[in-house]
Amino acid sequence: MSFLGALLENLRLLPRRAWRELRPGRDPLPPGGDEASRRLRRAFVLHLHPLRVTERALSPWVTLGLGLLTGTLFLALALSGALLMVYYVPSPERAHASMLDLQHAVAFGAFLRAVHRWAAHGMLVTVGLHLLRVTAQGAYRRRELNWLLGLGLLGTTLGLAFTGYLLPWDQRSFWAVTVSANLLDHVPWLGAWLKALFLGGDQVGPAALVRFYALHVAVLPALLLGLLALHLWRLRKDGGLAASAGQPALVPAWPHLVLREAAVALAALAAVCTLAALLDAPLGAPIDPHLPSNPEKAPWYFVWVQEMVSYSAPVGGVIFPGLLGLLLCLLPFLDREDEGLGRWFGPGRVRAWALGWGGAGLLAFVAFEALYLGAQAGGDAPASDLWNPATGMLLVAGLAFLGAGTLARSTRAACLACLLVLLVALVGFMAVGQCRGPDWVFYWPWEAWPGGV
Amino acid sequence: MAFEPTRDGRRAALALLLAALALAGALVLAAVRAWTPAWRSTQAEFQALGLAADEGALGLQQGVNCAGEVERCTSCHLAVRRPELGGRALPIPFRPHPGDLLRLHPPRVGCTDCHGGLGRALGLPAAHAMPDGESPEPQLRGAHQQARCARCHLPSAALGMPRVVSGADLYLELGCALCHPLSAGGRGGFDFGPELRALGRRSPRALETSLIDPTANFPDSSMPSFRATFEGQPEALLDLLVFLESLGLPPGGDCGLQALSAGWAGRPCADCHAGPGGEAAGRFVHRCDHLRARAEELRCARCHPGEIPPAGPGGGECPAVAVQRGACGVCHLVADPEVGP
Repeated sequence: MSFLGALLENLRLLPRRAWRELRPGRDPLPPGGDEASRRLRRAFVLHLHPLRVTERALSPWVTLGLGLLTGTLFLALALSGALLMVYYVPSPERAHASMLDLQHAVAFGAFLRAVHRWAAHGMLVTVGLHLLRVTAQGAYRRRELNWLLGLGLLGTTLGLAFTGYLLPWDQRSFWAVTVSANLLDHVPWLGAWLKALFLGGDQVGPAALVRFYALHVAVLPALLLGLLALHLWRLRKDGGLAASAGQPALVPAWPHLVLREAAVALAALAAVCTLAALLDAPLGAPIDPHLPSNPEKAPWYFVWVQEMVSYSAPVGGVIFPGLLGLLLCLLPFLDREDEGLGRWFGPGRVRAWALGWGGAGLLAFVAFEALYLGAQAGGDAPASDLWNPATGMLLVAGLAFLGAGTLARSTRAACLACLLVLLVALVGFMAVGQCRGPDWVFYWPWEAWPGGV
Repeated sequence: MAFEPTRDGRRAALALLLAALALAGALVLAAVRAWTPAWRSTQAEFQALGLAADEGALGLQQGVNCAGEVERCTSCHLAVRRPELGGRALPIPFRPHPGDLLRLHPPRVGCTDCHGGLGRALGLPAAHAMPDGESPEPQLRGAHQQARCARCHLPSAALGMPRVVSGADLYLELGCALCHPLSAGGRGGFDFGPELRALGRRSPRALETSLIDPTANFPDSSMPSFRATFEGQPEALLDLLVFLESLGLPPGGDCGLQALSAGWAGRPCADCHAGPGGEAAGRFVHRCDHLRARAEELRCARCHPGEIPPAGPGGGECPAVAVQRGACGVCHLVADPEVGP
């Protein structure tokens, strides 16, 4: 065949060959052997999944798709963030002006800001729920490394959200970051040093803006990508879904699982884009370091710490978060039970005691807060380092650990009950913190704050 | 139920299709919103009124003010520089600038130089910077506008800034300067309140709060409340507020005072505004000179309306100065002519 003939033939076959290179392997898979492993090596999606999965993996109710949702939202954040970087200038003089440009003059600028904001809030929620799902189903079992990697991802996500909060450089972000950074004052020994490291001084200023920017766009995303790669690699090596061992894997991952995941991912993006198209991200007034906002409130995901610090600095700022973090890190080593893996809150006996203690925690929380807020409204200063709602909830969590463990004769029941009580406390303090008005006075959501701010 | 690969594959593909359609719908919605900002409908109204002189004047309008900041005000205020529309009853954003002020100022002076507000923002309330009345650099309205004149022009009642002038008197009479000096790194008396040279970037509302209820803005403040002083004296309060809002530096660069005096109409300010007579365009008194002269006048004249008594046996010690440091106005009402020793 002539040169020209060969070229024409190659061009004719180009679309078909290109498609064959790109598609993930549509034909029925051969039963193993060279061909199957060749496809496996070539197809990226089949590196995330095995060739065949269990039927259980297709059910949306097992994982609720939370890990996938988190990853999708991170993708949305990376894309919108990269575009925002084109216009954003991380200098104290230009930062707020560039935000105004984005919000008002750049095509789709306001949309990008809103996507970034909604995806960030969404990712914080899904990453938290993902942690709860894995905990509740005991899916950390035999996956100690991946559990710790997941905690690292949670910390990195919080760091990204927090560093991003400062970048608009408006009154809201300035005072929220100021009050959050001041929480570090309550950390013994390291606190002052950490604060100086992150802020580049003793207060939020130009150095802090540049540091937060570097962390937000380079250091933390790189860290998150690295941890995420390890997380997914371990997930694959650990055998995919927890508690699937022994079940026959008969369903080809392509198309049944991959299409489902793509649908969930697109639906998440659609939800974020709809929200972003309808609701703009707020942009406050340019900062004025001499005019504190009242109340100075941390971002919602840190407001539980701020609320507890208002009772007692050492308990709220160090002891409670420290114990919670320690318990989470030790969880897969404290509980080694295999019974009821993959079921919500484990086998029936464990579930009953864990949920029972969780309910008791809720009652205790309401009682503590009613007593505390009542005393506060009465003008007393009821908080001491020893006796306040935060220490009360720690006490209940300790009781739940021992009580549920003893009564159900199960380490899992002990851990779940204790974590549930701490979760109730965390969400509760978050809610109470959100209800704080000027001078950290409690107002119900339907009550207007004085001053009409 | 047994797993049927074909049916399940179809169902999964359908779910993917629906999700993709939802995403496409969301993106279309976003595009529609991005292409129909509020200023576009304002411009459509302008066109509907038949006021658009030519198509080129529409679209996003951008300019630069004296401080070098971008401003987009004329995207909505489309007829500001069209005095021929003056006689007609038009909605506010379409009215030409009132008076002769645009002609009298150099063309580089932007809207925000005089009116304040966030020039980069578009649409109410962001551009006017009054979402909560607490923004720094808010748009100034009514009498507050005089404060902005005083940023570039030396305060003088003849230049249309009577409130700045009488506000400066109040600043002295009430004893504000005792704690709050107007000098770089300057320290006042008593407990050394912060100096106020850049106070004008605060919102009128924040300033008023600081006068009436100082601890509302700064819980640790030891400043006395001036609520009683201004009870029933809204005009006096406004005077003082306008003076405080006027505190700030004039813009630098092309519109700075030096450039103005050398370049505007080719003559320095002093040609028209100083020297013998000086009545032609109003006499200028520099803010600092004015304050210094008035401080001397007020120092004794407030208690001794006539002749100032000679130094007594105490070596000229005046109790009002020695004990109260002249801060009589804190307690004694401004308009009370009967205040005595």
